Amino acid sequence: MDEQRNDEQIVRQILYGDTEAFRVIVGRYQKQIFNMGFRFFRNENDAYDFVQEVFIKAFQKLGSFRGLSPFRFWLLKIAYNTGINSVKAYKSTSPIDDVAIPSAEKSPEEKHLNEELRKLLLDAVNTLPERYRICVDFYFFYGLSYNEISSMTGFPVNTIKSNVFRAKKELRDLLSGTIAEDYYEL
Amino acid sequence: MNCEDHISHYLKRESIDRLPFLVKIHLLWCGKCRREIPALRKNLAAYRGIFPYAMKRDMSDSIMRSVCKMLPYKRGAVSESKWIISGCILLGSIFLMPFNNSMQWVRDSFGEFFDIPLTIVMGMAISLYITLFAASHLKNFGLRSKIDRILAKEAQ
Repeated sequence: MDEQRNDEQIVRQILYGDTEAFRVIVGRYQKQIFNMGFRFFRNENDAYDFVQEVFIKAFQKLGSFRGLSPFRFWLLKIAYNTGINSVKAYKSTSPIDDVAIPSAEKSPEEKHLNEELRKLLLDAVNTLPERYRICVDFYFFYGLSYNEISSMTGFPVNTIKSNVFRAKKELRDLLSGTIAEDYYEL
Repeated sequence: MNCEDHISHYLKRESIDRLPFLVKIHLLWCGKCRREIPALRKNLAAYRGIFPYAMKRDMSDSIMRSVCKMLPYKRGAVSESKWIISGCILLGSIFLMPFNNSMQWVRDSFGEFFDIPLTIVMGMAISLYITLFAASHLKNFGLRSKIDRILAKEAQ
């Protein structure tokens, strides 16, 4: 039943003392937070620690959630701020592509296609300045609008626009002649 | 505008789902773009909801273990805004009392000696309000965790 409830209803339930309902929130967003952690730390173990830290922080701050913006946005903002603060003291040791792991998909064909798409997007994103890469993640994977990304990261909308545009252009060049392009042309 | 300009025009837009009108017109007579743009659109849309890095471990249990160690939320029956409004009314009524006609009537009827018991009653009312507010907002004062720690020690 909890699965059908929206985030805000679950938050209300937690605030009325049903701590176990927080498990639904964790289940819904752990992948997204993990991916953000991976973008910040480029390391699987640190990304897992990041997930733990973000959710505990979110639980502690849940009382301050006023519902003025969607819960998902509120949570991502906490995650982004946590990541920015931790990454200042963190020096990465391994390049991100060495540790990238493809997710499991439904059919082998889809799996292959999505793996290729992911790889291409990572290549396209890696051509951007490091600090703006997270903006492209927010745009593509999290489906956030330019304004939402801007209010989360503090970057001007035009900067986000131009970086996303650069990533899209790069992606278009990378996609030409790949199976991803052929797949949709069929 | 050539094909490249049209594609750039499409890519510059925030929404990848909608094709701009000029691009739609261009697609009517450009076979190359008719193949490329819809394929590009589908590829870009395919990124939604997929993530580049897969989680091998489910973190729910370890997070819930940490969360369950914390105190569950207990939302008070009285909302914050009601606390603030009632506090303002209480304070306002105390400060405005000397300027009120009824206060003058009390003074005329019972003399100046009535001021002291009235002040005591008002003082008690405001003390009671502050006590109730503090008791229901212990967490905000950082006292709740201390009290729980003391109680836990005593229980041991």
